[in-house]
Amino acid sequence: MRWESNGLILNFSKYNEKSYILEIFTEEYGKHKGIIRGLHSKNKRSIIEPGNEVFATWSGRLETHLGNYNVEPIKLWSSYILQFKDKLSAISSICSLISLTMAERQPNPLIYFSSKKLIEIVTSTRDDWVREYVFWEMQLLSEIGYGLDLERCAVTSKSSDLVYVSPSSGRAVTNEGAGEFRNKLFPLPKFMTDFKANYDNDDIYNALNLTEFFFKKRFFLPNNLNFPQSRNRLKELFNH
Amino acid sequence: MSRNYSNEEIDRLILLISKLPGFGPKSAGRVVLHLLKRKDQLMKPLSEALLNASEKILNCETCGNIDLHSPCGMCKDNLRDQSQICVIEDVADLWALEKSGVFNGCYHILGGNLSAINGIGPDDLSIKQLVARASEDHVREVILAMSATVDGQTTAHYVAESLESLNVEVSRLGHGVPVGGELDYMDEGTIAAALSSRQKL
Repeated sequence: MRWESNGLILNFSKYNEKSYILEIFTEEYGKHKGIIRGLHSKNKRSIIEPGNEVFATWSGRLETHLGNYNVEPIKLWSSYILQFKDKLSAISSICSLISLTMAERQPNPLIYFSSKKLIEIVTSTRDDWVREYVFWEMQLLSEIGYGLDLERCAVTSKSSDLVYVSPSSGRAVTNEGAGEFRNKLFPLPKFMTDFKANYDNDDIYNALNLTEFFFKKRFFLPNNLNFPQSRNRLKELFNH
Repeated sequence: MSRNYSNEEIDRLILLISKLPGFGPKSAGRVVLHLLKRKDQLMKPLSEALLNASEKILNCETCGNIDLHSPCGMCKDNLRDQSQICVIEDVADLWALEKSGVFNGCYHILGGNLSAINGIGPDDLSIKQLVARASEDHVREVILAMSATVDGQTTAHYVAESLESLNVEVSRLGHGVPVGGELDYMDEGTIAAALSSRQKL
């Protein structure tokens, strides 16, 4: 059995002395693992860095086998950002979150294309990459079944003046609706509901804190998984 | 009918040697036969050397290098520039840098890279020891010589942050065109890195 697909490199781990198990988020076959050999050759090593876009060929005797990968580079995104600590953390975080949340061998074109687009933005010179990153996390949360509802207030049903998020329901709450529970709610940065709104580091920190809470509560803790360290580092970079 | 005449000692030896880098069961078998044919000239001296090494070689408490003493010969060498510390991932990197013969400072071996997938965090590396070393008065510069990979550079940035409060200059190795490299054979990332770290002629 053999297939070909474009994909994003997620990670690799040692299999034996000369081979590694490579995990790729492919466009047509979802998150898929395979063995890659001869990784220490000068040309191949730089290809399999997290976030890079490749053309992958997988072959195995049976569909259920681990199989072998052969990869050709399409775009080596990671090499553009080695000098930026925030962007490095973001790329590592994107790859770790996909690796941990996406189902094995199930294509998800929505997340594939949004991740590809996000990696392109993160590695570009755009200043608003971190806002795009927050929206991508919200989309990922929604795709795995635990989306936030920031359309209208959970208490008053108003769609304006949304300033909090309820930690129990993941729904937005207005100042009026918060009442005495104000201190127990998460602050909702304005840019998360209004695309044109300005934002600062505190807003980004609050947004990352908000998505982290729901990732942990609804996915990582129930599945007994550790939240990615790279994602923790990304959040701390905006903690001023 | 096949009978099993395998020898326990030989099998154990083959099994152990096959665990070494570059060896499989077949090549390990060849090595064992070679050793058995040269017991006095090779096998006994080798076993003694292995035993001696396992008993005497230890990790330097200062830099993490392997040596017969702690602090190691490099850390005690007064001819080396004690004001420069080159931070590397493991001993193999130290050997590579020493082979080049261009660095005369001290080393600090971190013991790996931060890695989200492999679950290696800051506490698993000797970053605290590095900060303690770098805060000594005579240290002027810390050179971060990590791999040009996502994990390697993430570690470098983390270490640089840890050293921020100290009065030391923190630098990293240059990234770009390797010696003998031709531009038309190079990937776009390497060219981008080379361009961004260009120097005046």
